[in-house]
Amino acid sequence: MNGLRFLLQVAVSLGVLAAFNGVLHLGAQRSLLQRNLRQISNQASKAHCVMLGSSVAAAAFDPKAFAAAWPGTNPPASVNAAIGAATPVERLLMARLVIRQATNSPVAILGFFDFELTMEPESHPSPPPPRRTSSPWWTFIGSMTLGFRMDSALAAEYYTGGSHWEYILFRIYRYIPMCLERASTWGRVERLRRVVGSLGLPNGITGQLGRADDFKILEAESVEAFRAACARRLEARGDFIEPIIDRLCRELRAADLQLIILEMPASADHQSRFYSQPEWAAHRARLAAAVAERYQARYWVGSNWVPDIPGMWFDGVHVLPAGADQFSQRLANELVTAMPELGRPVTRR
Amino acid sequence: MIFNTFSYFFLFLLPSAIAFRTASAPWRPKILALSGTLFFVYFSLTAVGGVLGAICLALFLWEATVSRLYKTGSRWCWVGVALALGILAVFKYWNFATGIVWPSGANPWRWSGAFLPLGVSFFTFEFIHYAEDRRLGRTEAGTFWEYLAFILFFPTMVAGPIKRYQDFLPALRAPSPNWAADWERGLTRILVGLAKKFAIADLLTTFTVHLNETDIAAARPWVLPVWLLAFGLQIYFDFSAYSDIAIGSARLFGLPVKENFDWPYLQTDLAAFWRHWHMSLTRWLTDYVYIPLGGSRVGAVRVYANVIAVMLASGLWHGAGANFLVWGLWHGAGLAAHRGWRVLRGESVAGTGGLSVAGRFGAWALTFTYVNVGWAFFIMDLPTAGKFFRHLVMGWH
Amino acid sequence: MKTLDEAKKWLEWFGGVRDRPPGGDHPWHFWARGVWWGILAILIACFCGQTSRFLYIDF
Repeated sequence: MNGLRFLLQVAVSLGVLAAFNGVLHLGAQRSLLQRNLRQISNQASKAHCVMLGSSVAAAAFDPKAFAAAWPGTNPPASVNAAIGAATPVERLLMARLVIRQATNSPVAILGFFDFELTMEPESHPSPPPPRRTSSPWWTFIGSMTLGFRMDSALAAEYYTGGSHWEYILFRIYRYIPMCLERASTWGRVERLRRVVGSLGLPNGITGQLGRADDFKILEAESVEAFRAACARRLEARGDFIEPIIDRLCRELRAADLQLIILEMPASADHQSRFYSQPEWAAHRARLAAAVAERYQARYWVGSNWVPDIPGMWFDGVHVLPAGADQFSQRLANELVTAMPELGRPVTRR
Repeated sequence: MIFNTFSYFFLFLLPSAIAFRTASAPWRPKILALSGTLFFVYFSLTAVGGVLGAICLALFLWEATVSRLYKTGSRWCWVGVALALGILAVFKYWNFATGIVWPSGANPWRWSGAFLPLGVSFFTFEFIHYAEDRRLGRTEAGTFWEYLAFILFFPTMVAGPIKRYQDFLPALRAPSPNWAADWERGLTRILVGLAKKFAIADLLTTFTVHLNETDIAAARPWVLPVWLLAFGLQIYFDFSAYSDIAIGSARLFGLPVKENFDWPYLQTDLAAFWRHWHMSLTRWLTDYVYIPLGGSRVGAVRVYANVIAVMLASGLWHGAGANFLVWGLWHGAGLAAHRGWRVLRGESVAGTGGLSVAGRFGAWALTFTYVNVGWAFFIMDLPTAGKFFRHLVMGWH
Repeated sequence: MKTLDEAKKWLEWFGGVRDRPPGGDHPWHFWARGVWWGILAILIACFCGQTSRFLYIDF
């Protein structure tokens, strides 16, 4: 072995990796994320009603059940553009996709739970730091890679905190399928782990989102922690609404979309422990007033729209398909009362 | 784990290996000492021990300084051995030992802020080896910087193999000149180690994560031996992967480090298993525990006692807990039984010559089963291990 | 046993333990080693995500 052979060996291995990256790139066109994006893009052009938000909204809204529950023969077309395991940046990008494609000035429903729309106050009233995630951008997988695929300049600006060097790395990163698409291979390994790991054991609760146990961290760890989080937001002097969410709402309004802020269904346990607290009532009132003033948006309380019976709930805030049916039917009934004109053709200026 | 971080490879291994290769001979020990210092401080602060852990770097500097007093027959060597044992006793066994005196209720001597300095189980053993071998005249002193390079050599700091100064010093003074061959073999070893760790060992945690009281109670009995076998394989692939990465990393410097695993699960008796599993620890225990106790040159009863004592020490070294002592006793009893069986049959203790193919297969199966049953005490505490075996054998817990 | 010994030697060569494969080195071996490195890197990339917090499997 001499230096030349060593370098040739390195070159051969890099060639193998390059080929693998090519295969990943081709395969990624058929990944769930890409298929969803294409579907949403197609449907948004015809939609009169668009659901935006996090995994809570993604799980709860079923366009078919919504259409079936709409009275009359011409239910408005709808699309679920909510995205799970993502930050407000990805939700903004989905909203922009909808705005770009929409031709019918749809009503946009932004679903949320707990504190997804409001901001944990910083210690100083200066503009909030750009990084809004606990882990750095090079660890992003799945939905959080949306920022690399759509408008990476916005995501780069948001996630790299003003570092020029990181900004360049961020823009390069999107061209490396082994980094960008690793969720697809990791997901297959995770599926294998779950199948193999469950051998010889009773079945745990799983749904489309995975294992219910994994989602326990989404809820507050205690009633005291929840109340304290409400109080911090109410007492802060700075921004109340999360800046990217604020940007999302303003862009929707600028595109002439009507906006409804919808407090998504929560299990009876979640409601009795958290939403019954006086601090939450104050948080709700302030949020409702803020969205009405800034975006002329309605604020609907949908936290009790899905009954707490077996088969409806995946965890405290996500519903199973039966719960999604219930929610979608209720949403259709509410919308037909509040906006009976929805579904009739509208010419966009 | 440190070996699976980008920091290990791009902040420490590659820069220091390149610096070592390109430096002149007088600078090489200093490069190893400096890189080891930075490695210890960095990973103490970010992974194990925190600020107090980083301050433990002083132990290395103290040891390197005191080691200059070690000479053949010198009592300073005993001081060095005592100091190393003291470090181990305080950091690793204080709470365990005081907890024995106060088993239930509050332990007034409990050290609530206890932490382990990075690699304490390994560097203390290297301190003891050097002190003892200097006392016996089995190794030369080397310079201060050469000894500091030895004890601060970061590829083997965290998980071994436990090195010998007699092997390290000549290589440090004249590292292998064929950098291309060393880098090719070294990088291959590292990549294989990482692949063993991620693709095999981590995948096996799918099973072994269930070795807890709750899941054992809920499991069907047939899956329990599958979980235990998975742990036996996981610990092998995990530990041998660390050794692969350490040995491969050392190869980048042109410094050979002795093998730590040599197909242990293919061995046909327990003594052979221990000669092929974590070989650097077995050699250390043989040289610094078994032989000083008299080895096999004493009466029969004492030989068996020595074997059991060595395995108890091995168990305790692996962890400060009663289950580790039981694990050590399990292997000590097995080794003693194997020795007794050999003596009874009039055979030499080593080797399985003369067995038929079926006999060798039977011997292999027995050894493999015995070792894997013993892992139950290694991975679970004693009450949980008890429940495991009750559920496995009788179908209830 | 010879087959087992031979297999062990090949595995040791692929594993980086032995410096030469059984039967000696050949000029084309660097191709095989390069491909082997690529395969190892792919395996590492595919399996290294098992400790990541995987809340939402998107595949």
